[in-house]
Amino acid sequence: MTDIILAENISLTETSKATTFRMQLGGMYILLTSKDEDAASLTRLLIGMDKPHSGKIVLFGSDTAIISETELHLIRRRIGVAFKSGGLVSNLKVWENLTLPLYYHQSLSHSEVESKGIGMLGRLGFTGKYMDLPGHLTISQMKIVGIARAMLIAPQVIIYESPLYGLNQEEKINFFKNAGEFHREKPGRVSIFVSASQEVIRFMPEAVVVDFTKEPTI
Amino acid sequence: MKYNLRIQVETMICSLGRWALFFFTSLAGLVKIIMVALKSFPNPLNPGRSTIFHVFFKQVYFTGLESLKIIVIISLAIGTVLIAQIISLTGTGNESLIGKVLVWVVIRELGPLLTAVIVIARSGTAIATELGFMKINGEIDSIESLGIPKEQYLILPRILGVATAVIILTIYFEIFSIIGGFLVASIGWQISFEKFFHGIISSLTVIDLSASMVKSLFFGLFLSAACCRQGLNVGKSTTQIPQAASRGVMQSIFLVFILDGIITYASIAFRSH
Repeated sequence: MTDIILAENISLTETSKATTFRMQLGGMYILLTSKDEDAASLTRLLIGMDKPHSGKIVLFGSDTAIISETELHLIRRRIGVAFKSGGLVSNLKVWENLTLPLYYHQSLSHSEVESKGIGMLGRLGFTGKYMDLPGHLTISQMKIVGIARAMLIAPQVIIYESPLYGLNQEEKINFFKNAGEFHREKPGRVSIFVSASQEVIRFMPEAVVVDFTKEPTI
Repeated sequence: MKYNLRIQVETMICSLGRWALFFFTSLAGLVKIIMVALKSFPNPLNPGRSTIFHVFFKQVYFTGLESLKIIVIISLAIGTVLIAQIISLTGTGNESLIGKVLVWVVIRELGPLLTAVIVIARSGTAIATELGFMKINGEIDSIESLGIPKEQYLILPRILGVATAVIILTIYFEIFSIIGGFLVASIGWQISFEKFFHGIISSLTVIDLSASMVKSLFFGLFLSAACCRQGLNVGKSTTQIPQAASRGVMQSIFLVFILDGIITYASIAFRSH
């Protein structure tokens, strides 16, 4: 199997022990951290926003520490990130936030973008108004828009940062159902759940767990 | 005593040197921001062009159109006051001097300068605050995680939008100053339209107009770059946002006056050649 992400001897902080893991084509992974801040740090490391204190991260065959910003941007187009609180841009409306990567990277007509966007929000059960600014949404609604935005670009790799944050039980069940379906939709897609909550393992028993709280090596 | 004086002079020279070094490093940093942003200008095949243009037009609307009312009022007031002062000094029958002073003061200096100061007060603070909030809330990281470079999506349209708006607003400022001047001259001193405008047209040169436009362009580019830089330099605390805004404003005003001096001297040198 091909490595999509290879992390060699990385540590989240200067004092934490180094961990090595590899993520392969089609795999589903849970990166378990001891706290939400670590989940955020790990997410940033995985998309090359930060450099690891030690070791290296290889994304699609490129070492994030040595490739240029332009190359990193090209790689990030293949990765969808659903941030803890959605990661929405506050001065863009829900619809503009959702469709930003589609309009930016893909030459699609307005009707194509419209059908894709409405379809994705409907699928994830978004109940808010499309023309509201993110400030008017609840945390779970912002999170759903963030997940929809990540899914909409049909990425090779999708990263869910703290996926349980801000969701009630029903929303959690709905989210993991959708995440599982989305994972199976495209052969070879890699799904990564970065969380500080053990509950994720219960929802995704088939996923490989990389436990950053116990410093394992896979 | 002599030794103390020497130390004081040395300290003063060192401070001046440090300040000059800081100024030129800062200026170089701004030039770099502008160059990086311009370098990221999307090619015709980039589908993101329309999104970038959307941000650009929003910036032109916010900086240009929404400031127009203030610019019109201020320029009308400046024009009336200026003409009233000139006529009270020189008396009527000296229309060519009225025209000359109006060109010297409004078109060469006040038009670009006051427009830039108004834009700094209104849009400069808004840009620094907006980018600062976006930085603290992780929105800039979120944009970058989508494979969208911040230089291309956030800085380029803001810099070009503000520069475009400053140029257009300067033109409006100059036109309305002249209109204001004419109104007060015709109502107060019964100066005819032909005489008033002949005075202006006979004094106005292409170099004056070009210098005015060049000033507006540079003011727009540098003030927006300074405010963008301050906004993007915000760390993790919300208390840094107002600090960034005030730093952006002070730096922009300072830069605008320095650039004004440089361009004025350059245009005088060009004119004398």
